[in-house]
Amino acid sequence: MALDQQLLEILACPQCKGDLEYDRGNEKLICHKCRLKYSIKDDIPIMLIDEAEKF
Amino acid sequence: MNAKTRVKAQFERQAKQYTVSAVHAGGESLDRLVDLAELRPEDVTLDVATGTGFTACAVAPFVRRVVASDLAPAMLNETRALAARRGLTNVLAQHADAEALPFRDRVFDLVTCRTAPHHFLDPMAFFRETHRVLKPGGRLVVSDTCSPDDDAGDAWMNRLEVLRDATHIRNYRPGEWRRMADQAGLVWETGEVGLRQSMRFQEWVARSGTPPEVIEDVRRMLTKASPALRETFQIEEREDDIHFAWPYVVFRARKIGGQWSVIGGR
Repeated sequence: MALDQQLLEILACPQCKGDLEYDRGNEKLICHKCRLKYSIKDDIPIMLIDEAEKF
Repeated sequence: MNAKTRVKAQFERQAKQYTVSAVHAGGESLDRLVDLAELRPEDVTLDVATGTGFTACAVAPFVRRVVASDLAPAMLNETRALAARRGLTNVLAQHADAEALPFRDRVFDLVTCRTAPHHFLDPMAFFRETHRVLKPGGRLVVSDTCSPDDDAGDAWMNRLEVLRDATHIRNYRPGEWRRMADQAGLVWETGEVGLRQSMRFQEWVARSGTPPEVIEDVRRMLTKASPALRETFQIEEREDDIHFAWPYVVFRARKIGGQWSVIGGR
């Protein structure tokens, strides 16, 4: 199952509220502005700033 | 472990307990919340801190879509299971922190939140975030336990709650709820206070996973409560268990803008 398209349209970075890029291959949502990668587990993006991976 | 991680861990651990909780499954506060929400078929709604999804699934049959969000992924699994059992296909589970919502501005017609803000570390952040994600004219409907107006009752109730559950922050007074909505720029439309009479001690401490050594202290606070507190909270020691009642508030506040404006002074 892929990420729900309706959810993708309304999701934003919880820190800057800006756009996210969906990296399908690595199952991540990426905020380029904050340089944070949010993991997707069981088709649910984990949108916690503290648990996001910095890059 | 920081405070937010502690809240998340607590609800990961206790998710199943909440699924079987009669208090959370329904009752008067959920009925009143649904009434006050004035649900419309075109509404895109967000249920914040959905827990096991009772509120999201009560709203879902009457609206276009419900995003059910929670800090604890285990709760979202329970939400998905409940939606599936009820044949609801418009409930989308999404992980989110109520105080830093991962949604764009102005995307929801309605935000609901039930029996949860007393766990929020910064409830004003939740109110500000709600204002941000609501469309102009969108409404917030909240139901939560509240404390009585008298200082002694307020202090006792919150002391008891913190003892029973370390993730409890505060049961707010009805006036405090109204001030928080005002400060976030939401216009208070209607609010009411009720009494949830179905509280039972043993189920209550089991749900929060209260450590055995603390359970006796919690019990003692209830059984040794003053006559005034006994009356306020209808504390009764019966053969089966200690029965008591918790006040709760249900209110609706609206984001003004677009075709919505305030008439007259506030």
